[in-house]
Amino acid sequence: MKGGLALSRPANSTIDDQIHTLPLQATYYLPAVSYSRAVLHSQYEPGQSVLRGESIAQGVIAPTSGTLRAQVNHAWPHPSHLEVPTWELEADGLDTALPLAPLAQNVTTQDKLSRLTMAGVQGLGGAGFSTAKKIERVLQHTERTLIINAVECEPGVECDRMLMQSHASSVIEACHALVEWIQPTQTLFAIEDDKQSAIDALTSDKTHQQNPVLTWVTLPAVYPSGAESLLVQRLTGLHLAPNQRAADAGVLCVNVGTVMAIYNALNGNAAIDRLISVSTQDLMHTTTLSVRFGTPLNAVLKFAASQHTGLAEALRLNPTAVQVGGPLSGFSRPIDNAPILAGCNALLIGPSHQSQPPSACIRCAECATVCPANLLPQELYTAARSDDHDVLKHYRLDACVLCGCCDVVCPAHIPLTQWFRFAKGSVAEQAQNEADAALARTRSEQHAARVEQRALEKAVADEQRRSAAAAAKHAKADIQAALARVKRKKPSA
Amino acid sequence: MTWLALTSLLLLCLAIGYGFARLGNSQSSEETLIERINDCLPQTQCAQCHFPGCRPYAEAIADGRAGINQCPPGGDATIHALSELLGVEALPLDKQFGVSKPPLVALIDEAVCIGCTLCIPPCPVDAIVGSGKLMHTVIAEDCTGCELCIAPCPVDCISLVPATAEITQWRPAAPEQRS
Amino acid sequence: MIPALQSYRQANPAQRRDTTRIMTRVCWALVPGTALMALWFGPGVVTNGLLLILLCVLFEAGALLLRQRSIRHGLNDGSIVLAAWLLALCLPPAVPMFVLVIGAAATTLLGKHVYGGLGQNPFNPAMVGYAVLLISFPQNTTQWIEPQWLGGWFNPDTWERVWSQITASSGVTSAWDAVTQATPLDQFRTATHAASSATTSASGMSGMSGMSGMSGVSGVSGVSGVNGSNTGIGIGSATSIAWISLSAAWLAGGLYLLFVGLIRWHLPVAMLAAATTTYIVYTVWMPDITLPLPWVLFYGGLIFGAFFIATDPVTAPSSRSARLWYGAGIGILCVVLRVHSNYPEGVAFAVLLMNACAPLLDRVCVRDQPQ
Ligand code: SF4
Ligand code: SF4
Ligand code: SF4
Ligand code: SF4
Ligand code: SF4
Repeated sequence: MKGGLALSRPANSTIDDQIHTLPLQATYYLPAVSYSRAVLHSQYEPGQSVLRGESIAQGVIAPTSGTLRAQVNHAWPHPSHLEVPTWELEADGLDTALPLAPLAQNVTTQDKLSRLTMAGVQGLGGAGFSTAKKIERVLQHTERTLIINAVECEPGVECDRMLMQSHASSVIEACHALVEWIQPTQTLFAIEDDKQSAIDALTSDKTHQQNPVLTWVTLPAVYPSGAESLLVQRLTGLHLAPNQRAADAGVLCVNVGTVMAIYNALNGNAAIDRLISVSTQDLMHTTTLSVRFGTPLNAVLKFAASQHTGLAEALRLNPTAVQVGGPLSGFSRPIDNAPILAGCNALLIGPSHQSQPPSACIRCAECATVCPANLLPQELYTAARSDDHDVLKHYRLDACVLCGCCDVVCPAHIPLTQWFRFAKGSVAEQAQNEADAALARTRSEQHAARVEQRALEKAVADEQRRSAAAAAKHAKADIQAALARVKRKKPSA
Repeated sequence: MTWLALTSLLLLCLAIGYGFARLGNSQSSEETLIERINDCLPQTQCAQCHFPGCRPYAEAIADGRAGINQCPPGGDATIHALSELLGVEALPLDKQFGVSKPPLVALIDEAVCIGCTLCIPPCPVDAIVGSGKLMHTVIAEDCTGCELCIAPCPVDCISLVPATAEITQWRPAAPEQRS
Repeated sequence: MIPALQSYRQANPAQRRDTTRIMTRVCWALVPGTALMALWFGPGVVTNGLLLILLCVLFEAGALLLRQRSIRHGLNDGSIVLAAWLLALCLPPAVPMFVLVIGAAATTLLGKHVYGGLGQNPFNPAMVGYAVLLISFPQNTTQWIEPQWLGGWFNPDTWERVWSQITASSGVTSAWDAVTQATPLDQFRTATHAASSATTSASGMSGMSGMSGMSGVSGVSGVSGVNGSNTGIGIGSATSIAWISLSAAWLAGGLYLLFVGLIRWHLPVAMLAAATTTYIVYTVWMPDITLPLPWVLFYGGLIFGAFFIATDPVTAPSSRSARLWYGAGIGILCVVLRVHSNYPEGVAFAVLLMNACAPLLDRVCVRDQPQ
């Protein structure tokens, strides 16, 4: 990978080397909206009780047992800061699990995939795609590559490292199970060289030593080498076309946390929680929590503060806003009871950065030097400002991973990544409009053709009826004529 | 010498001119022009442009019978695309034809519907399903929000609602631009 | 700034970037060369610089005012100061005020604001200003005095001359006559022209007279020598030492910029390499050109141009390969213009010509960007 930023934690920072599990909450919030912002529907009625691990809607899993309340509009951890319809789950405190048996060895692929869907397994690396769909696509290929992504490259995000370090043998077992299932020609375990403790823990595992199916790929700690498209390109040399996913090319790239979730799901445990790093903005203090999905943000922060004095101090000084996500990829939001969801890997407490006012681009091309996707952000920026989709396409906006490296180095302090988010939205919107228009056009043409056809048929039918009537008239006249003849003949008879 | 130079220049000009003429010709046949105009239109088929659908309007533009600023659903984007395509000046939308609105779809209040089927024929994209005396419903994905089914309904049970949820429509805003 | 990046930026000083800071650093890199120039050519260098900076800032503020932009924000980036400074360094000492006003106007308005201000201009503003002056006032822009170490500063005569120069109302002034001298490049060009017309054309003399008709306006009519070595620019003469030491100072400044990561090597190296190659081709083709190679590089503005003018990020292409082509283009054009044009130095026009090609280069070279 070219470019990127070699970011590191401050030299004297402390990391709490323990995973703290959040106690059961009274209420969980489950948004009825998918990651791609489609509204989800469900057959569940308000007042219905659910068990832990029960699937309420596509990808929405009850994190504990309790009673569902009616949907309300509720805060949602998303840069839009919009409220979305959300189920409230009132916990009954019993935390009864839905009995899901571990899947037997010999079940079909389809069974396994539906189990993943039912257990709500989705990508924990950030994007939140359905893992079952991803695997399904990969399985259509005969030559398969498996990449286990443990490249947690953003400073301040430590959950994958903590997972590997504290649960090394389960991680190895989970990896082996996935390899068993996918049967890849090659399995790469990608990890950064600054996670030595995790590497040591994994490589000293017995199962791994007996059956070393994993090929270790140690990468230098450069942000954003963990971005999926970049990692796949780097490890396999595969260049993805616009809108092509790695899965479409037979490469399954999964985050190590997701590998664990797959393993758990196949063994009867639904995906109801994840690890989250909570740090101060200056990354001086970090702790890792195990949090169930739907837990309110303020409860998570309060618990983190109770576990770590550095965090408590930071939270006392900055009680109103928090950054959701890492230092570069995250966004700021008020501290409220918005739920924690699968895509949230880190929380940063402290004043979010004040951006300097942007000035004109001086075309210094620093942004191009650091761009890991080898793009020309300055050209994309000009095109994004004029919303020129052709030029955006020419400079491969689609390949931008929105990593934010270009923002960091820009001497003119231009919020480049924000422009690219905007431009991507604009391009997607146009594509949607075009698809809608194409559909409407086909349907209206069909409609017009049918109306014409009807009219034609009607005309033909009318014509037939008229000729039939005329024929009938003729026939009648003939009969009358005949009768008349008969009449005339009669008297003479 | 001079003559040679002048003649070769003349020939060059002719060759280039011929090339451009060929280039222009290959694209400007009547049929493809209408198609390309039609491609710029939003295909709502609402007839607000005073033509019975997008394609008739496209034909009218190609014939010079209509201006490029008569399509309210398309709004500025359509006018801009047409002005690029046709090389004419982009005018603001002519308000006499209507104003641009956010995307909408029709929704039939199924409790009120009497199943009279009057709304089916006007729908340009066959987005309404139902048959005599039965409740009717709109297939939201197919509906263009053209409003043509609203007037015929004898019990006024069709209303227009936003096409998608607010959250689905949301997209990241452009950063503030300072002068 | 994102607090988490603080450590990163501390570890990578080159990343502590800011437009104002970049411009300031480039200005710092100009200081040694400017000082040396002032020591050789007297106080006129300083008056040029200060007056041009003042005028350009005024024009810039006016333009921002008219365009309803924030003046403070617009001036803050320091780009106009740098442009004015660069223009001043291209001019001979003590240029008349009215010429400076026109130069400043051309630089600020024609070079920058008609295109929409910083970042939008396709042509290097300083070079636009210089080209306008070169064409409009050839006399004032090519009339260099004989360099004299520290000479000008302690001589009341010089100050008087500078004053009368600055306040002159027409381009033709007599104050300098006694001391004007052609730059080594003027002499080189005259010599080359003589050589090339002698070798390539039988009507060498008519070509020569045509040239001298032209060069009359560029102030070198006094030079009649045909060969570089006997016109007072030989090694050791004050003139050659002055020009070579100046180029060395620009080189030092340029290396500083390279070292702190404000410019990258591709462009200057490509430019100097291309200029060298072209010159070697010329010496093979026209063996009468006798100026030794280092002189070609060190006399005139080649080094200055390679590190300070061509590297202007706004008007240079931005991908690495495009910068190589761009630099090479400037280098070749520069030597070609030196040999064939009516102007002694070709850097300005070479830069402007390649500026025009920069967007094209960027567009073509994007092939080697994303896959
Ligand atoms: S880093 Fe900023 S100023 Fe430099 S080229 Fe990129 S966008 Fe322009
Ligand atoms: S945000 Fe996009 S353009 Fe900017 S550095 Fe990252 S990939 Fe490149
Ligand atoms: S006004 Fe309606 S029918 Fe006319 S072109 Fe626009 S969308 Fe089509
Ligand atoms: S359902 Fe009504 S609004 Fe929708 S397309 Fe059909 S006629 Fe138009
Ligand atoms: S016109 Fe109105 S009442 Fe009649 S079928 Fe349609 S929606 Fe129902």
